[in-house]
Amino acid sequence: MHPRMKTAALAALALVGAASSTLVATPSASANAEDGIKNVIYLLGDGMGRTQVSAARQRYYGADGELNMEKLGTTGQVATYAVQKNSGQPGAADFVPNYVTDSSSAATAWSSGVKTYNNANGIDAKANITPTLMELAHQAGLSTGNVSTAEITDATPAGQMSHTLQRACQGPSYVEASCQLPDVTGGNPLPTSDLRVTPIADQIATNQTADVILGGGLSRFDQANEDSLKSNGYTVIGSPGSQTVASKTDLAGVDANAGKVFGLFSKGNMTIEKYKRENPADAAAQEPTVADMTTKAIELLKTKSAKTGKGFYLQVEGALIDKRSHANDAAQTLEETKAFDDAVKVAYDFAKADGHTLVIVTADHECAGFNIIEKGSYVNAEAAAPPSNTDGKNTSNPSRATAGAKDGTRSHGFINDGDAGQADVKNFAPATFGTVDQGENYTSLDGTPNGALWLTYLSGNHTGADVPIFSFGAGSKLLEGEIDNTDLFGIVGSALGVRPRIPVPAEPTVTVTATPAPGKVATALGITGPTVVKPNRTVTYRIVASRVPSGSKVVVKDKGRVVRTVVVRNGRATVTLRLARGAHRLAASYAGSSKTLPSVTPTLTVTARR
Amino acid sequence: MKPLVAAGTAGAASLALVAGLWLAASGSDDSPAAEQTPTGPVVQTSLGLPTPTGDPELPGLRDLSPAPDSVGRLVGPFDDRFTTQGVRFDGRALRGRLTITSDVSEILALQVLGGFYDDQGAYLGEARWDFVPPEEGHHEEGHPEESVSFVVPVPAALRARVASASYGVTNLVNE
Repeated sequence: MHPRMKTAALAALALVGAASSTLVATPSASANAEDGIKNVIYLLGDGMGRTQVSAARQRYYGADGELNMEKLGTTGQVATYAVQKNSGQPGAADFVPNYVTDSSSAATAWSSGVKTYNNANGIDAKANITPTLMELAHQAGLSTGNVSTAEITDATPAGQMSHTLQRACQGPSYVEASCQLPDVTGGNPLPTSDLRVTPIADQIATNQTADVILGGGLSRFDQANEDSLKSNGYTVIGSPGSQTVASKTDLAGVDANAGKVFGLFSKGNMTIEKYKRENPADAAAQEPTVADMTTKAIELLKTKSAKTGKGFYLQVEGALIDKRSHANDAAQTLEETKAFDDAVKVAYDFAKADGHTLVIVTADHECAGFNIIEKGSYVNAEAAAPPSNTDGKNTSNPSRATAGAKDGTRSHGFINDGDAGQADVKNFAPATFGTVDQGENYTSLDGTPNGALWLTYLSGNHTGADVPIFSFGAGSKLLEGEIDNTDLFGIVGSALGVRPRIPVPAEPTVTVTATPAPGKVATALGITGPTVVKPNRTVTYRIVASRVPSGSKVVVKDKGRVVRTVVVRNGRATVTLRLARGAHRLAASYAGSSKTLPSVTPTLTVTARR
Repeated sequence: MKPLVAAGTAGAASLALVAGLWLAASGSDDSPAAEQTPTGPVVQTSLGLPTPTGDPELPGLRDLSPAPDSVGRLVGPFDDRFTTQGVRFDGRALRGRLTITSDVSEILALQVLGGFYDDQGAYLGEARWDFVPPEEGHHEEGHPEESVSFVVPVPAALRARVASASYGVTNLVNE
């Protein structure tokens, strides 16, 4: 466990209110199957650093708006560093860090709880196999799903479902140069029967770690894989054997009771949303969105877990944020972040209705040193060679046809303005975009000096910056503040009940129990949530309603004025508010019925301030 | 392209064995990270799949029969991800340039398979060229490499008889 997280976990229960009748203080539900959490939906935007989130918010929702992920309520940040080959774990004498991770090392960190070298997948830095959360969940009888817009054999999804010395050992065939790594195996290659040099596609198709597998990368699989999947009870949409990609229509047609489903919608990485939108007749337009895949995966897993009586664990990756950031393609970085955020909404809406789901949204690393620069300010002089963009399907918008050349439309910083001795056509030009704050036709400002959002890059590869983490649901308190990416193994494992329970620090909670009366059942109401919030940002409060029948209404008031009426389901309700700047006094009340007594929470004082 | 049998039951059992052994052994390391990190015995296991005996061939390699002094093209699984330029055969090596069109990120793996034939078009043998990624921290300046040159030398034992060549890409992985 990360030292800073240990401190948080030991935080004491706080009592913030009192009222008439009997006062009982209770901690909020904790992140463990024992306390009602059955499911975890873990979403990550590959390469999605803090700036990718901020810029997408400004572009699509405005400076004062929020992405869906920002509505989840709990925020923190995650350290992402990797280690060198043959390094020990942090604290060991032979620990050698590498400050900038790749996707495979990061995926191994949260999947297996170990630091490893860049390029490793499901093993530690000394090539020891490390079981993954998805394997442990599968072993415990939970339903499991893995969704990605990358090839499903790519580092992030593979980190849950396979173990290889090199992430490049993807298939469809064993290739010695891509699978062996004598540097970490004592100088000698492993026998080709060893799991760690078995192509990832073969592992995925054979090991049944994930019940639902949706994404790209059909070229990595073949007829033998299809046979293996079908023999293990998977419904296969599309065909690896004939290399026929599945479509969004195929996906929509999958019955909720299908159980195990394998569907790949592209031979390589899936296609960016812009191309699909602008080319509706192209076959690529038949690929589902990451939100579509998330919706179907949740439907399948919910149905399957209802039969087993156990929960589910779903991982969802928005991979193209990273792919487009490598290309320094700000336009598509923003649009793919938005597409990923739409998938977050699917998970969030499910979790709010379900009441037993922990939703986590984070990233594996930042990509390309993305930054928001002041309008009209100068551009990064170090980036003298921005990538060209040769991908026919995923072209930049506005286009940048020639590597290393000034974009005459978008370069307006003083380095490029022709000042004596400073004009240089190779200076990196910022990408400019309109934002929703600039009116309905804001996209018409894209690529012009009048766009309010000026974006630039530092490099064409990953950076070592911490990444944001957002969460919703019981146990999300453990994800507040600073954590390490390996901490996610214990936290998610605890929530799923497959790793030792981690106590959750309590939020301020007050519960009032009414005095019992003959012939009626006493009820109790508690309200919990943040007491300091940002003005006009969505914030969620949870209401615990003891012995209040499902379907009953609870009225929420602020300073005595009714602001929401919510319905109790299974003893719980949530209320989402946007509070104006200043002090607020929240309280919830239940009116009672012919069989139950009324109850009311004490007032929860909330301050909304910048 | 490769032999593979359905072996899900054996695979699942092997994996369960891995997890079980690790769970039994976890916590044996007293380093700060050990309380949640696996350090149990390494389990050498497989999924019961047929054991590969070498790098893959491509369909048609042995039957292509290109005319003397020509270069034939073999179909591979990743042909929609790259273009090639200037591919030529000079009797000693197959040379050309390959440009990735599917991704703008670092190349992690790329293998070009070269086939060699006599003046009757009969298959003589093969050789491979593997892209070697730059060592970490030794990236070239600028953007990730999207275009690389390849050379597949004719094996010395074939040089006296070789008259034509073929090529295809057996493996391609981008970051």
